[in-house]
Amino acid sequence: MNILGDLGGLSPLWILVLTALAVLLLTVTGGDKRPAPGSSTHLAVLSLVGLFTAGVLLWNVEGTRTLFSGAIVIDGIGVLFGLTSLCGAFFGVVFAAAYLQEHGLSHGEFFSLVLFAAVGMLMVALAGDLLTLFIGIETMSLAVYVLAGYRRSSRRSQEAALKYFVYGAFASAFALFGIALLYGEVGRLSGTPALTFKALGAAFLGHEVSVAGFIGVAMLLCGLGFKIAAVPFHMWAPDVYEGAPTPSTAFMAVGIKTAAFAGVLRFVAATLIAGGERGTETAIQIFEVLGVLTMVLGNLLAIRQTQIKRMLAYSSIAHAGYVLVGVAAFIAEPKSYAVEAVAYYLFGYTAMTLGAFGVVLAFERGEDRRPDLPIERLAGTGHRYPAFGLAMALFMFSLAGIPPTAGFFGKLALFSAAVAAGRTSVVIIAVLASAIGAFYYLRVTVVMYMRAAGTEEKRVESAWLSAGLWLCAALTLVFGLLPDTYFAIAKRLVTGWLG
Amino acid sequence: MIEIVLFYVGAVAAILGAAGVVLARTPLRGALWLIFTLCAVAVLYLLLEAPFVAAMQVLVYAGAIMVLFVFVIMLLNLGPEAGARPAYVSVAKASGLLACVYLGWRLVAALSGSGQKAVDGSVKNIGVLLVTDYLFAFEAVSVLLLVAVVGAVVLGLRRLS
Repeated sequence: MNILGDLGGLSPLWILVLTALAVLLLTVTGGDKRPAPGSSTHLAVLSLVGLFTAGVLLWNVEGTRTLFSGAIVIDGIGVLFGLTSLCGAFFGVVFAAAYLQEHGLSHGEFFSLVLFAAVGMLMVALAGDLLTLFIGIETMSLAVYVLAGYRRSSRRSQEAALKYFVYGAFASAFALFGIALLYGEVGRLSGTPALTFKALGAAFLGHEVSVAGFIGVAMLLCGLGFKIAAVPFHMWAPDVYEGAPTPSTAFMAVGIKTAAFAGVLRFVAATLIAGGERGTETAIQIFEVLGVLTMVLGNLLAIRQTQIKRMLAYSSIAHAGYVLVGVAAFIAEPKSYAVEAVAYYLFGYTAMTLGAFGVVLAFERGEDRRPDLPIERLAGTGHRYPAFGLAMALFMFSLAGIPPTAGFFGKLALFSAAVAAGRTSVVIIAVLASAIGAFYYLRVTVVMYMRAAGTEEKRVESAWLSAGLWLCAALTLVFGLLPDTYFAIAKRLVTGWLG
Repeated sequence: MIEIVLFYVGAVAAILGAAGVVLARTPLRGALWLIFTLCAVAVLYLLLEAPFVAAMQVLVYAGAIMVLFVFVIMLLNLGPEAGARPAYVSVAKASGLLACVYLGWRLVAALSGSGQKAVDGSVKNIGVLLVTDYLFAFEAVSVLLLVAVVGAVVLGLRRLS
């Protein structure tokens, strides 16, 4: 094993770790006073530079590389999902810079935790074995638990962190038990126990897998299902999304979901469709039932919400359901276009969800001290702040799946992948579910533009916030107008992944 | 022969201890029963030719982590009433128990009689694996621990304001 060469290939990871350490050290040496206005700009800039560098390094990877005896595999799917996670972290830092300033919270620890979480997400996206996958999941989760409880003066924030932690630890225990069973099963089938996806695929292909193996698969998928907030494991999401500080919520909604879906795809490719063969009907149906339950329940519960962060929480549950339909299509027809559709959808989801949370954050002023923003309070803001109103309308249209936005083409790609795999009935349910979804997204726009203002809601003035919102809006619109650009890149990266 | 005797002693002790944890009146007694169970499971690990895991079980779990448990229980001054649980039987509890029994039975049925030899669980082999095949995991755990430390400081630090 060539350790130095392997370390070189791993540069996106350790550059992020080093940046996080540098941010921490700069924070500690900055004195113990409360942050003065503008005194933490260098920390935000440093974090963004670190994230950007890691992204560029990841982008420049050529071909597939296997590092550290198969613990890390840098390939197309890892690069695609890793870049989307980094994008989530990037905007997480930008929005946090505005939020932390407004609420008088310390910057450095927040940024470094976002960077550490990004390291965990990259580990999950680039995982070559189950151990790396698990350590990655734990690293990103642990950082995000703390980010959820970052507003220590708020009881709701504390409650969110504790709930997320307890449920999350339980899910991790499930995943770990599943991994142990799979380790033993690979040993039974192939003679030498191993944890790499490659060995897992080889053992699942052409051997009679016992019940222990399938219980292992199911338990690990339960653990991952918790991270993506798919329906029987979604209970934590609304409370945690509502109580956590808004930049943490935005970051966890996009980054964790993207990374966890990368893990799901890798795991599914190694076990359920080992060797590129079509998965069993049972496996496809399990994912479809999960997907349908997730999007229908998410959308129906979102309609009743009066608080916007809670509504977006249910909306993010519903979006996980659409992606699960894409994963089911991938199992039914293991071709790269299903993976590309999932990647594109998650990228669009990242841009529009971050943007929506960014607008929420714009109306959370330091003196309000409320954990969530009632949708009613947005009345009239569309006219008072035309740019913000337009951006929010764009994000809501995109979340609802109205052309020409990234949300529309993402849904189109996912659903056509499912149709191509011959799963038409699920697609019909998914289209109906997104029609329900359109109702509550458009209601926000209606409230912003057509309802008379009861109270004059003020907005947070911050250059960071405006820049982040413009960038998110640009991504949502540009990749909506030019989806082929993304698909061309994705095709180049993912082709050959399935061997 | 002696192995079989040791296995049954260890297994029965582990099950009794686990029942003790659940049925104990006070949290402190429950914690003490947990130490008993963990030590009994360590005996089973020894029988599986995994001395390293057995030693870690006693040192880390029965030792360090249980000290933390007992410390927290003492610190919060949890009396007998803290362990009082609602005694009702619900559909969720019954179906959870049934699922556990069923899955456990299927697992035992699937694993028994496979005649698999345990992997080499000696300290030396684990040490070699840690710096060869699992080098990345070994290093990545340090990042995980660092995150835990930073998180503890962020959540625990009392700011003077």
